[in-house]
Amino acid sequence: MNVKVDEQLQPSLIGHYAGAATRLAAIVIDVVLAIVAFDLVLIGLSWLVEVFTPWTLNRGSAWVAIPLVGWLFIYFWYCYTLSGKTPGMSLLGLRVVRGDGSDLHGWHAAIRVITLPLGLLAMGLGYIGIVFGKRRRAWQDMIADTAVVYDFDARAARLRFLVRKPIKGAAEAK
Amino acid sequence: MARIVSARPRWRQTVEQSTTIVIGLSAEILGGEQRKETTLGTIGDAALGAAVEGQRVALDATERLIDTGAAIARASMRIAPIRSVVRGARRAVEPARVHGEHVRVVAVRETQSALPDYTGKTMNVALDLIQLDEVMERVDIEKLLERVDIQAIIDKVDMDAVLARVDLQALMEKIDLNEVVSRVDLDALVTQTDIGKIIAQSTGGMASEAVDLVRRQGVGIDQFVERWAVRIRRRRLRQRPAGPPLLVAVEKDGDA
Repeated sequence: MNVKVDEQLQPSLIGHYAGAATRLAAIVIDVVLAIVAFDLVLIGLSWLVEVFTPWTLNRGSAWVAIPLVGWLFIYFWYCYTLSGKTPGMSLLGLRVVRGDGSDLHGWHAAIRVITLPLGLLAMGLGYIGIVFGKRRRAWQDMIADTAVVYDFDARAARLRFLVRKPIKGAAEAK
Repeated sequence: MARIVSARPRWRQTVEQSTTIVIGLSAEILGGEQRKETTLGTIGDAALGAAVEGQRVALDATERLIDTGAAIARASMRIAPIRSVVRGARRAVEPARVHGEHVRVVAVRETQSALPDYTGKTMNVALDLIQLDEVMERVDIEKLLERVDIQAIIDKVDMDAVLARVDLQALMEKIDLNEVVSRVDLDALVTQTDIGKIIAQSTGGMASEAVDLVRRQGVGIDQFVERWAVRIRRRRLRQRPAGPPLLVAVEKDGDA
């Protein structure tokens, strides 16, 4: 696969619809982060229960899925409401906005988080719109009237890259 | 033995200089100082030499005649009756002389004041008569410029005074800076100047480098997927908007 950043890249990608690859990478990073954080909290909690109470906490129980789902909801909803981006999206330079480009508020963020797994439950069909849709929207975007856009300055990144790139002939001159 | 040469009178110097200028201009127009040895040229030079010699002889004779006349006049003035006649004649023409002197002084003053206007009008008439295009076709501009000392002209120009008269504000308003900046090769500017170092110092270290790398790779994969998507559904995706309307200019709206 020939992956190459287009030399005719827009001066700044801020506000442009994000592509499928970066969105997929961001959601994977977020889910992994959220589950790791949940596991760490659960481990600490079970240790505390064992130390200070006569009971034990079964971390392998199916009931754990309920607080996990709650935690995932809070994780995504809080991040969306706070800044429109999760840690994974921050790393990839993405942001969630309303369909018209305005800031995302709590209600729309909640709808988006709730409908987030729908595409996955439908064998991934819900994400086809990201690649082939006119506005690159998945099902959760259509339902909650949201969109995912790039939130980093591609031009600045390119300039930083050029600065770090060794100049031809500089080594010989030294 | 040193030869005593009496200074030539002023009128003779003027006549000789005028002749020299006329000959020089004529020779320049007809082919310059150096020209081929031809029969016609030889005859011309011979005629010129004879004419100049003839002029010299005529001028010598005129000079002697004037000197002789002056000597006779000076000697005559020693004779009382002649002196009386001359004085009487002077007195008779004195009113005319005074009037003539007055006319001369006034004429000089009026000529000096009218000279710029007269020169301007004359120049305009001359310019109307001259076919400038034809003149310019015959002028060797490169040869002309070779003789111009541009550096000397620049040295004489007071740039501070020139700049003080320039309305920079009006000038800047006429310049389309976006157009100017769009022509700048930013890549070359960053890699070949200290601007790059400033950007690097202000924007980060290893962490930002890693983040930039991840994001650039992500965008690269996005564009790869995008190209394939457009190949598959060319007609539908060709004109899809770049982003939400409030964030980027949307060319054509659509659903999903």
